[in-house]
Amino acid sequence: MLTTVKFFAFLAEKTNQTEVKLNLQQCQTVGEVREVISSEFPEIAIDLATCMLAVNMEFQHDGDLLPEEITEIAVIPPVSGG
Amino acid sequence: MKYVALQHEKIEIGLLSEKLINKNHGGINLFVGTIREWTGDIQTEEIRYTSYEEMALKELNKLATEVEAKWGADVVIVHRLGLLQITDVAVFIGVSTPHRAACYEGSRYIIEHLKERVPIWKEEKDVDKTRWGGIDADNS
Repeated sequence: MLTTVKFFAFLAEKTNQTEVKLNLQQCQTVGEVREVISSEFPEIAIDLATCMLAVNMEFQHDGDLLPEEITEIAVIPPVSGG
Repeated sequence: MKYVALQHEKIEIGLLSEKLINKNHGGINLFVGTIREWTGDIQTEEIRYTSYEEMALKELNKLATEVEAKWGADVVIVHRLGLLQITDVAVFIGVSTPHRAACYEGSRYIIEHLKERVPIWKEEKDVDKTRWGGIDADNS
């Protein structure tokens, strides 16, 4: 089973992708997802430390367990609206 | 009452303000964020705003609902997306409440939290380079 992972702002520029499919079957926590993304996309590994992860459009902490049903995971770089 | 939107069209301050008129409210506070040319010695040419729109709307709705509940307020939040020029309105936040103190507090609450957790990004085009997320960020 592959999971949709979305990139935004400069992450999309650096990876040249807005959406990828990753195998996250081995991941139990949000932090483990962060590690998988980091190893698959070393070009954004440094940036990932300052990004938030949203599972099914809800922000989650690294220690949080992944839910059974994952529609998508969004990698959210520091926001700058306003 | 709450009204939340993301739009590419120009933000019409007058029309949005009218949504906040409520016969039981004695105060309307408007915060209008505009594009500034100079930030210290950095000269901005234009700014492009992008968003994870579906999630941003969800987060903006959460903020509006929180402020409605906490201060008994009516709330309007509109953020513009796309390419904006100097002096263009980027964000409109309107809060109306029965008494004045609450609409100041509610307005501040919305803009501060918007800047922390609503997935909207600015790509700032200076005269000499492009920066993501303002002068404090280093994502080059």
